[in-house]
Amino acid sequence: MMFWVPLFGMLVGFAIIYMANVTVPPGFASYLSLATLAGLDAVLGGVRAGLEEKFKADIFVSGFIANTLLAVLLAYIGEQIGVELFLAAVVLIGGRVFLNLSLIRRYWLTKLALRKKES
Amino acid sequence: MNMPFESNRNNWMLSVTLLSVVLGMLLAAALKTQQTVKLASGIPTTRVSGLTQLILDEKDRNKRLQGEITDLRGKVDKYEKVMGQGGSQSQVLKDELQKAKLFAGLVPAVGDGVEVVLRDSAKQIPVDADPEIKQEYIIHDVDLGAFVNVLRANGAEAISISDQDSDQRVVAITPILCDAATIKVNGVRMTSPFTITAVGPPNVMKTALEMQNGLISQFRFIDGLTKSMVKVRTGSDLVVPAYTGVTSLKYARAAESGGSPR
Repeated sequence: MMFWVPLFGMLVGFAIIYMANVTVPPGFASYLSLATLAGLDAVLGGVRAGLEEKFKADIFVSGFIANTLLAVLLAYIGEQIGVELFLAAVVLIGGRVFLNLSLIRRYWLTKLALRKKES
Repeated sequence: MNMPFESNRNNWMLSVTLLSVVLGMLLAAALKTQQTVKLASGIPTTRVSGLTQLILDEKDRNKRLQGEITDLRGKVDKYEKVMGQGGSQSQVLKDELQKAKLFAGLVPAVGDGVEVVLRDSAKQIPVDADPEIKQEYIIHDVDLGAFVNVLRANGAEAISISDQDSDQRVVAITPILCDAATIKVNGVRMTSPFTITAVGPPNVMKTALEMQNGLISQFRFIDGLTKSMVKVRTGSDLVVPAYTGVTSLKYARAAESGGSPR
């Protein structure tokens, strides 16, 4: 299954950093988590676009970088002016992750059903 | 199957995989940072609900340990009693010891006295008031200290400060100090309402607090505030609990010469 390739890539990346002796100052912990969530959203969005056959590499890559940085920047500004923009980003991106996941599942199931019909 | 899409498909798989690697890295870094945060703080969770549970657990543990202290002190008392049965000389020693312990606050004290209840004002604090005025609506550490002082000056022999969670005996080394939104007595955080229980001459203490130009009459200058924040009543057989804090001294030693003043 082609599906497993991105997942495998994620595991590889995870292993690289986890084994390596990389440390991030604890003050950045919440930002890093937010960036991870934004990254997850972008990757799932890419998968969804791919399944919908509307995938465009430039949109995907720029979306990944811009969304991650913007989420972190927004959270930082929120912290500075005393508004919990962090939560806004988490709610919004988290919602999109769920939406993308459900859409991916739907396309996948449709494809499976089609394949069954063909065979 | 349909070939035109196949190359496109491999293409998106490649990009997604590449960024998935980056995502995995981010994930690992985030996980590691969270772990270091938890390790550094010694707190196994950062979520509020988890922290609440932790606080409750610690409170339980505190209660248990507090009970243990009372138990152990009771045992010491028992041993002393047994020792006292040895003869008249050790009986005298035991009595002396008991007196000293009562004086030091290491045993619970019972007797007539007064109870002072101090609470933050229930009145709405005016939003546009000066910060100084706003402070008037809250009980502060200095208020507790002032009441303890006046009670002592008028014959109080045993004093405790309580809130709904704990009772603290006020002993010679007891600090009463504000700590953020709470007041720490013997290092234990307390919140309003506070009850000061003092064993001593009831009427003398009550009169001293309530006399003209006394502590209560000068307590707060805003109309009606004092009445809602301070309540004094006399009582008989009031119980003042024993001191449960640390009693071992690190720096002070008994002086050789018997400590006679020069």
